[in-house]
Amino acid sequence: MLKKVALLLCTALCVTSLTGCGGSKKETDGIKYYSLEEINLSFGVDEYPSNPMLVGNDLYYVTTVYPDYPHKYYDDMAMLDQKLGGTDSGISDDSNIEDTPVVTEEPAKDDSEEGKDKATTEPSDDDLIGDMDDVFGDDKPENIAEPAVTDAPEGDAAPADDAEAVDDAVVDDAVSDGSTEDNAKTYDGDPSKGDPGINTYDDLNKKYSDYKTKMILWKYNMEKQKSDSVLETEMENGNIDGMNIEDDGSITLVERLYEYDMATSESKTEVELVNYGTDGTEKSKTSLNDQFKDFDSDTFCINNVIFDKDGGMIVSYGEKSICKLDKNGKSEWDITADNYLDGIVIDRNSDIIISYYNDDGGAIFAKVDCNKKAVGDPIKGISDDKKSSYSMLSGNPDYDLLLKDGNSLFSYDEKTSTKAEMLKWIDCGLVGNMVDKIFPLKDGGFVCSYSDSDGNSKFGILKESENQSVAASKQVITMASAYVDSMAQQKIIEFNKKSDKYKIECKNYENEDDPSAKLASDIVAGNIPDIIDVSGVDINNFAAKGIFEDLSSYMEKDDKIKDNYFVDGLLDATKIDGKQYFLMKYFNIITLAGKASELGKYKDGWTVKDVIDYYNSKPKGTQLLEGDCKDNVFNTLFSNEINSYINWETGEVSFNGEAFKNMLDFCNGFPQEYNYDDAQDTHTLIKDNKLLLSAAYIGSTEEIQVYKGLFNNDVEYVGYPTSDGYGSYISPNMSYAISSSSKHKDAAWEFIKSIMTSEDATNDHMGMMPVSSAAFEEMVKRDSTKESYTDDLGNKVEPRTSSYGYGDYEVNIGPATDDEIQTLRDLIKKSSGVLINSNSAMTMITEEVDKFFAGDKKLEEIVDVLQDKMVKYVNENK
Amino acid sequence: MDIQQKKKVKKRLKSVAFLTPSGLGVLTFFVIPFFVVIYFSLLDNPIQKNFVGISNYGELISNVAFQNAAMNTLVFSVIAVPMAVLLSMLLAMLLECNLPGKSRFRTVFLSPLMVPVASVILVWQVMFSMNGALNEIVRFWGGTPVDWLDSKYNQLIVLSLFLWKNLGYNMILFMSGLANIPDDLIEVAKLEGAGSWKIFWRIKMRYLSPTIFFVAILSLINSFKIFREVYLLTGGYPYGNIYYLQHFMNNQFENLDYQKLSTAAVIMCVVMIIIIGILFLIENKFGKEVEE
Amino acid sequence: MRRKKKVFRVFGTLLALVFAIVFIYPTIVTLANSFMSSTEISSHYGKVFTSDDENSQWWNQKPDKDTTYKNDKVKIRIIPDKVTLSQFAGVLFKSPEYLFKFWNSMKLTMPILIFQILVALGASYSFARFKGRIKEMIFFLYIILMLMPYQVTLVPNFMVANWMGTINTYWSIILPGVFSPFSVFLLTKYMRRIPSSFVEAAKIDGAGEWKIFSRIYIPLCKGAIVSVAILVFIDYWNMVEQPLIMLSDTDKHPLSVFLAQINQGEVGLAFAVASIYIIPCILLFLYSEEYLVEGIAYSGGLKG
Repeated sequence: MLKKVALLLCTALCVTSLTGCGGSKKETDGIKYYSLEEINLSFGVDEYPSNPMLVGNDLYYVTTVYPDYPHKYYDDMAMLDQKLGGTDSGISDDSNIEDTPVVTEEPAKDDSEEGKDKATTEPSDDDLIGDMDDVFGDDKPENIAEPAVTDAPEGDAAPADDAEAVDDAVVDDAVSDGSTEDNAKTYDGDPSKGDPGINTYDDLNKKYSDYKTKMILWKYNMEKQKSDSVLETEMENGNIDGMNIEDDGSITLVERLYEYDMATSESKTEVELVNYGTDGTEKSKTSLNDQFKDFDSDTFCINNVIFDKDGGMIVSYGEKSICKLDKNGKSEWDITADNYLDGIVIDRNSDIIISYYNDDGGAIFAKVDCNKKAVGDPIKGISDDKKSSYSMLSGNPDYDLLLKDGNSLFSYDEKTSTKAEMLKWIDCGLVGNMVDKIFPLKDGGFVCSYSDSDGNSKFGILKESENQSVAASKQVITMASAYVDSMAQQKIIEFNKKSDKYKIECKNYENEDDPSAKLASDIVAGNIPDIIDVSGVDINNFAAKGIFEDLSSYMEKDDKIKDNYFVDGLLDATKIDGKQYFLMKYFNIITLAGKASELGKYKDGWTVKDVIDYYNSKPKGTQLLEGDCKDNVFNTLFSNEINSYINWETGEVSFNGEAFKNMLDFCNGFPQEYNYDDAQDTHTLIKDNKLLLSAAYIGSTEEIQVYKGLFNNDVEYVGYPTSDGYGSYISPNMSYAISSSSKHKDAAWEFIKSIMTSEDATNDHMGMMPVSSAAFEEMVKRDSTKESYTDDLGNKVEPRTSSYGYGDYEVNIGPATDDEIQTLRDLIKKSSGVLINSNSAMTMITEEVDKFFAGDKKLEEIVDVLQDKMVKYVNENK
Repeated sequence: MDIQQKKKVKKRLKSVAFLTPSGLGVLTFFVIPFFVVIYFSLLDNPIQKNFVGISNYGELISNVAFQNAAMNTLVFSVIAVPMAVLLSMLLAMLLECNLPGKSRFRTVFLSPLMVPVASVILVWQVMFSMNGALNEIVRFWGGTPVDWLDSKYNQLIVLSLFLWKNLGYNMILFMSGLANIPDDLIEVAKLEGAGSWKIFWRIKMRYLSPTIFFVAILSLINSFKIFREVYLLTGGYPYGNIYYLQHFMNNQFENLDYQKLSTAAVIMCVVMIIIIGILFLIENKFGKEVEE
Repeated sequence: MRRKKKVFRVFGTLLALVFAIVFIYPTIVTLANSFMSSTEISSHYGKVFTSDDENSQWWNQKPDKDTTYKNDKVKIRIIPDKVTLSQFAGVLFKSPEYLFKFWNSMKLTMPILIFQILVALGASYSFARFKGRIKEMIFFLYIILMLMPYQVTLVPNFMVANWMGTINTYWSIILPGVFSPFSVFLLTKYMRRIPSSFVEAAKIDGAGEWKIFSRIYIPLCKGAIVSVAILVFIDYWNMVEQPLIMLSDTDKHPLSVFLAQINQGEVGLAFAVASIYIIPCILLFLYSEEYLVEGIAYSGGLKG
């Protein structure tokens, strides 16, 4: 009996597993090569294409045309700014954002995506500067000084070729800021010439009410390669959220108009469904406001509108809502999801698929069940609980679903629950994160919209072609990377274009559970990449194993990249045992800041004991760091100090010593978790002597000023506690090493050199400092200038005026003083090494120490276990 | 003479033919690569490949972690293998006493063999982790809970796991060994007035000695295989005495340290050859006695 | 005297019973717990896995962990509060990846099993039938190889796989598996027991080596073959190290590796998956226990 049941079960299992998985073969060799052909569309200075849509062979898109204000307008505005006491151009910028939502919307999304990716690949930084988030919110610290400036995406500012940069410098800036600032840039406005009768922005708007923003719908015919305007609509402060073009050429738009009342700070939103005839005349207009649940005129926003076959609309709005409107704009159903919605598409089978991020930051895709009015289970094969891997592209007739990530385009097959890679963006000369929409063409290939290296929105056709590098018989140079960000992708594309001998191919470890370990095992297997992106790699371990080539000899031979090419003192900090294993393009300094009046004596470094003594001398309840908790304090005191408990020569470790025990005891005195709910802001805490230290992530003199402000001019960068020397560390960005067994070392060096020497057109280093001393000096000069000038690249440099703050607290960010510059230089010179970012020992220790912090185990037990394990670890690795 | 020789050659050829598939496989997958391993153990670095002679061996033997690992492995084998032999022999004898439901018992004792490693880990974790069942009992009786897997008791846990897995199989070997002892021999001995102790030592043990040898070898293999469970239970760097040579080698593989790994592999291999050689010599001696 | 014997028997039975309970307990726990609902499981065992959950590697560190409700007490339960097949339903219908991995396990284990036995039969026949100094040496080499922990053969295996370009394919595990000396050892031990009179008789009948091999040895070895097959199957069915090292693509991993890893995350389904995973073993066991015992018994009976 039992036998029969078991046999039955087993056969059943085999059969189900066979049928369930038999067909799901992974198509790894389905990758095709495409070449990008840009669609040449001529635009005015202020026009940017948006809302692309492919109907048959026609590409529809919308451009926004801003009014050509006279100089007087800027005079008036400047005067008004002065009158209202604005500290910066914030308000005018704000209004500009609203003028061009179409453009800002898309790069802003990229921004968040990239931020996320960064966060997942470089959390070690987060670790150390974890509490920075509290000061600066979710944005990356580099944005701090320009809180009021538009949310220009970091990725957008990707540097352009030098030549281009000179020509387009003016346009560049405007575009990369996603606003029409260029007018303001070319003509600043002279407050003294302003019209004294204008006292409010209302007055200003009224005076110039004749100048209207226009939106034009174009139709581009692929065969004729020509654009015709189809429709023109005047729209002040409006946005086209959705667009549908029927087969007969009639057009339906979902327009969202808003008015902002400066006086009351309230805005009014009006959502309208407008039908146009084939000739562009308005046929009908319906207000949709009443169709949305909890419509709030002040805050209402639409994320996405998709039209189905019958002309009905699926609208995702607000934070978590989706509704279905019929052709006439009547609501059919309305669903509120559990999570914040990200994307929404209709797949081949006319099912509505949404994507959202779960609490762990994983991207989940799910079908909307229209009958049950509920969001279904995560779709297998693409949803990932932990990782935010893919984002959806518009539904297409040829594939169940199209997905993209930063590296590739995928198609998803619902039947087998598998995805297949279709192309690698980089092979097409595209930066993955910059690709916005993609539409398959009937005869193969795609039309896509993307932002180019200058941040301009472009359209292009991807045509299937042979493998370019094979065709040009280029030598393939492989680069291993835990994560290739947009900037690096851009550089690789540029290098590949320029070089006629070599082609860089990325080997991406992004989707590996443990990129460092996977890379290691690949190296063991002999699949050694030529170039290794060292971010996210256990640098010390790899260096000790002889995997990296010492670059010193290449620098000696090189005519440009020599020691004096770099900022003073920088190379020494990145050397390991006197060898230059990697070079980086940008860097930040990571250190601890405290009050100079109290910590002056430690300005050349302090020890863990000093920290403990200092803290204990303060009254109870004082915070040591922002977001005080056991883990945080432990990481601060320990993560870069791990080697002081280890003697790598003799293999002795001292985790059972008093020093370590005292430190653990000290950390254990802090709360298990920081209570963010009734937390005060950093500035108040410091002012009231309730907060002693702040983790500083420094990328320019801006942060120096921020910390001066936070500490009320009483700031000392004491650094992280360390047993020897001074504890500020370098956090490298775009850092590369050559593998010692590469067969193409010279080519690899050429690539590194091209990265090192490539110039950034916009002079914006995205909150990081350039390693080249020339660029660094340029940055310093720019930051410290009190008068505007035009730099060598033709960029106009303004004296820095910005501010940083929250609530009632604000610090003005002005031109850097000599003192501040000197502080920055000193910090660089004094920094003692590179931030340790990945280390299995650290993982082991944290795991164990957490048990102590959680109260599961006693200190003695922990220390004993750690000592035992670390002896093994150290001796294995010594 | 000629025919004899021809026959001999033919016979040899035939025997070689049967051995060829396996022999070739073993040669390509184990033996030849092993020479490469020896070669590796004489280099300083898999990438630069400088010949350094036997300095790796000196370094490794003086390495504290290696010494520790080797010692632990040795101690575990020395404790676990005899225990496995003894306990399974006792179990076999117990069952051989014509207990009711003998075959049921046999099935039950064999059952650990089929439990997947992962579920074994699951259950063992539920039992012995910091918040596990055993600590609940300890707490109930007012004791302080212990993180068993990270304590000095962890060797016992591993030992219990090892015995649990292997006793059943060994027991069956012994049962058959016992069954092979000619009954009349024991009868005769009894008639001659030999005590049960004497019968056990003089007759049973002698007949069992090949089985003991066989069980010992199997237990030795399995004592190395227990690493799988230990690794899944406690990771790459377990506390105290359950850090074995396999851990050392596994970690070296992950650390990309080919030299230490290869050197350790060679040393282990040599030691094994010596141990097995000795075991064979002993077995040959005993085995001859039985056959006499 | 008789009474003593009786007492002894009762005592012995009790002792065996105690042993039996200890031995079967983990199996019962696994099977019984698979009939609990996921929530029941996590409320029973949740606490066990909270501290082990901390495999907080740098790339997936999350600043704040969600603190879901976990029962303070850990209870090993045999009888579910409510018998439910929800775990199985979850595994079978909602998580096809488990079935996928199950199939992976099959794809890995079956070829190894079949070919290892085939190859080993030839080799052990050769070892058993023909003797000589060189043969003895080779056999000794096999024993040494068999005794080596996987970690020792790891580098050679890895190198060969790399050299053959089979890394990240099943071949990298199957090929070394096929030539594993373990079954050669066991089968040889068994075949050496076959009395030479059988062979002589066959020879007189004019049988060639192949006939002797296929008509006499193999039928006689049936029990041993089955018992070796079971051992080999169980060994490879449970493999963890090989896939971890050879298969970088986690989609290709067998259920054993996957199971070892879900222990930490999805305890709720782990027992059901483990139970499903046991089924082939139980099946093998139930169908061939007699052979197994017989096979084990004979192979151990004589010296090598």
